[in-house]
Amino acid sequence: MYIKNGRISKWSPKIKKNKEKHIKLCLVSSGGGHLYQMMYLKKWWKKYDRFWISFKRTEITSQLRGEKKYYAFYPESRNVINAFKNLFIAFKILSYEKPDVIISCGAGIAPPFFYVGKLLGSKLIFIEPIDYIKYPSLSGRLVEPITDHLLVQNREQLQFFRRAKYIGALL
Amino acid sequence: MIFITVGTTNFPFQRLSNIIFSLAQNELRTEPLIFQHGATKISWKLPNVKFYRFLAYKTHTKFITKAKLIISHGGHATIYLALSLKKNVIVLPRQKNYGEHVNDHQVFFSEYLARQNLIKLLPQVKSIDTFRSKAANYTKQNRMVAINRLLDSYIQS
Repeated sequence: MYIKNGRISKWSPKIKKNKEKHIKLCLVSSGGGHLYQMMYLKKWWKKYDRFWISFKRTEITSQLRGEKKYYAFYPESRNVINAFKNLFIAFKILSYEKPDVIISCGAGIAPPFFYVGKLLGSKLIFIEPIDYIKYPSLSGRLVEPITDHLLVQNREQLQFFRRAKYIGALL
Repeated sequence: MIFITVGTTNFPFQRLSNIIFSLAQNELRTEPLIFQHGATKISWKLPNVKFYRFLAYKTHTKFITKAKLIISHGGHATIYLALSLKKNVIVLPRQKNYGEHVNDHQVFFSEYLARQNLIKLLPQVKSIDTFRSKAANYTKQNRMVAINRLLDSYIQS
């Protein structure tokens, strides 16, 4: 029974029975090359219900046109104050959206959302940026202890992480 | 047309701006230049140089497609996009000690690509107007299907 046009109706709306478990993604990305890498994965993520966390900048808003997005505090690179502010909004956004999976290619925007996501029970996937070949990125080092799957794009990067998997260059 | 880009990071890149200022008045004075300068403050103006702060994705791709040469900071997205379009790329990597980035990862990455003869480093290029490199031998590998399957297996388990 439900109410339509002020009248109680006996017909109930047709509810689509999802055979697959409904999965919601949270895609976290800084701008520039990190976002390019996420866009390379478009054929994968466009199958799923999703929302983005990024910054309000020209190239980002144009690439994410039509996507559901939240804006984080910027600049994020080596900025402790914004990292704390992003921790705060991570609690607000993630406890509202409750994503099943959080995925990121960096950069500094990822760690606050990954730590809060871990507390709230999301699966975490981090893809190390391709250009860190001499040492790991700071974001990679910060999320390594908590991330479920850490993927690298260069074989040279395997030596920096204990449980990383090589997937080859995205770009 | 030559396309120059400093990327989207919030650190300025004055060194490249100064080099372009000098090139645009000398060797490249007859060449139209497009300079995406991002967070770098520009205090000069020349008739053959057009400035943009940040570019939308399609515009960025369009400029790279139309350029005969790309002069870039060490950003992997620009470099790989240019290589996949078989363009010549000259790179000046950002360095930490000039306040251009948080660390020197661009320096190591560009040297890594230069060793594979995919790009040339700016200090090693003797003259820009006669710059010719072998068409970069870079083939983009399509790993989409395998990565797709892997990521699905992670999230559906």
